[in-house]
Amino acid sequence: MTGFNPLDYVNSSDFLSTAPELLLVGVGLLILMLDLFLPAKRRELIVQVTVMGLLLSLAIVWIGWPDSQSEAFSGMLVVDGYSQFIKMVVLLGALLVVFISGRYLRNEGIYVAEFYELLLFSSVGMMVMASGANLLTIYLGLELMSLPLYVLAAFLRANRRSTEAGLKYFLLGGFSSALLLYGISLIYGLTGTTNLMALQHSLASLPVSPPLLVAMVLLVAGFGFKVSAVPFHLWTPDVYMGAPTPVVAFMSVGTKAAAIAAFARLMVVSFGGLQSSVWASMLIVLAVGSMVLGNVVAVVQNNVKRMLAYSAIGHGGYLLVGLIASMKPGSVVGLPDGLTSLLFYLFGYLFANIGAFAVVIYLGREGQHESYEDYSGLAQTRPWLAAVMMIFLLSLTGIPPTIGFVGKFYIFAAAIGSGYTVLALIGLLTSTISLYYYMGLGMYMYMRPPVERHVFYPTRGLTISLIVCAVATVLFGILPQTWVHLAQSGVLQLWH
Amino acid sequence: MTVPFGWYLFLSALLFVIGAVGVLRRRNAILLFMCIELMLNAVNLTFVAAARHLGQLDGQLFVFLVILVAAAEVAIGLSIIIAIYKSHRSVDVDDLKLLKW
Repeated sequence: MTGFNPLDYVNSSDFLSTAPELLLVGVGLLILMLDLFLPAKRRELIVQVTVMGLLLSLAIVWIGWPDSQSEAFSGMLVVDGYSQFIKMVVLLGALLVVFISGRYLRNEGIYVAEFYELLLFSSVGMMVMASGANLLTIYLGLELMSLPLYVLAAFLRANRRSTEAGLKYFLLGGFSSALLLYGISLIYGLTGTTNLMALQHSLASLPVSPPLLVAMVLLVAGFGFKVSAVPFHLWTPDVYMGAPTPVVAFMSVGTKAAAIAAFARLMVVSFGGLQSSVWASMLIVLAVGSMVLGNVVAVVQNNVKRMLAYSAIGHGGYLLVGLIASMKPGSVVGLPDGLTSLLFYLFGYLFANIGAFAVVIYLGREGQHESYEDYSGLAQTRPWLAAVMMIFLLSLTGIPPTIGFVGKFYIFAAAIGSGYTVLALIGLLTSTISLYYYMGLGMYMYMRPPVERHVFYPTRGLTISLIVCAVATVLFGILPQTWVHLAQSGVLQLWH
Repeated sequence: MTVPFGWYLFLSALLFVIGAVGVLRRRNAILLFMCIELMLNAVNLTFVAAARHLGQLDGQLFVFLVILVAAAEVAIGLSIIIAIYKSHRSVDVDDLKLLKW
């Protein structure tokens, strides 16, 4: 019997191409160690180490931007422009969240080291999902992303709303990943493989049979939960309201980006022909439901975090429109295809959404000062804060000259290009509805007299991230070309 | 005489449905959680049966990792349930009314 040497199955290029993830894992473990040995007053070092780790990882992603697709670890992971773009979004999101959470954590008495460490591990999970080229790695990435998030959602142990949010997120999250897993097991049973490229060959000869349909429905349910698409959105408002605000900011962007990236890769690479039209018709139901329900229910909300939760459901719907458009060839001449617009939309959503949550943190502690009334007269007491919030709201609505407008424009154009004109029209209509509630908040800030209280919680980190988000939202709204090209080249690499 | 592949699939589908119905019907957080574990085990059964049917090891490998993740999930889930019990004095999901469910 010959000896088994695991080193025969890996080589150094595997470690090089997964360096951003490995680095973050290392930093996470380092933080755990530092926490043991550092005196309490040197805790700031942990934040600095986290920031350095994220920046370094981002730099590695940036420097090693690939020109073509390459495999790592025997095809379990792939590295291409597409995965790197998502990793960039995730890392930027994590970085901004670290900046906005400093003072917040101290105010709420949250223990620092564990918070940052879980944030890092969750980011690694998202990055693995973005790179996953096998249903196994996608599943493991999904769990690595979700498990820390369950803990983070329940992080304020003494706060009843937070533990409640944690439990709801955990139970529904576990349920949805069980659904996803059953779908994967059926696919494996039908085809005998879980590798996305190999699936493409085996699925091409497979008719759309009932077991395959069940598997597809289960996969949609599992991913739909993470993207908070209707009808799998039930957890979203509760978790967004109860979980600590920085955590919500992080997961609203990161989870969506990673889940939709993995899902898109699975659908675009592995499924074709009749199967993709079955996918499309399932996703159309989800997309229309999310856009309509998210935006309509957001109108009647009076809590800013809850409003942002419903708006997140609506944005999940727009992302799905981009995905649906990418499954049919054809686009309006000169404009990006569905998948490229999806990536760009995520990039824009990152700044606008995290910015909006940063304003929520600026305004009040957990569970306080979150209603619309608390924003009354903000334009008089804090003109800059109100102006910045206005930029984010405009971007979320999709009004020029913000990045949100460009993203929505591309997505709807791609939908029209692939022949989904009705879907684009519904998107436009629901964006109009969203104008009502986003600008409703704007009305409170600009038209109402100021409220009596107004203790603010400014920090340097918050100010920096607010400026970065606002500048990015406007600047890339006017000059989106660089990022569109980057996304486009990434999408082209998906098919080698 | 061996048990045909279809029977395994039927059994695992049955287990999965029992688990899923349990998640939707039960109100005790721990029971809910056990139902989720039942669903995961149904998945494992499918993988093992399929791997044997196909004469491969990939499915068995998948099962190992699912068990691993489930163990991590138990650790986290139970701690969250303990935290809930400390703050709410109940693990009944119907008592969690602070946020609109």
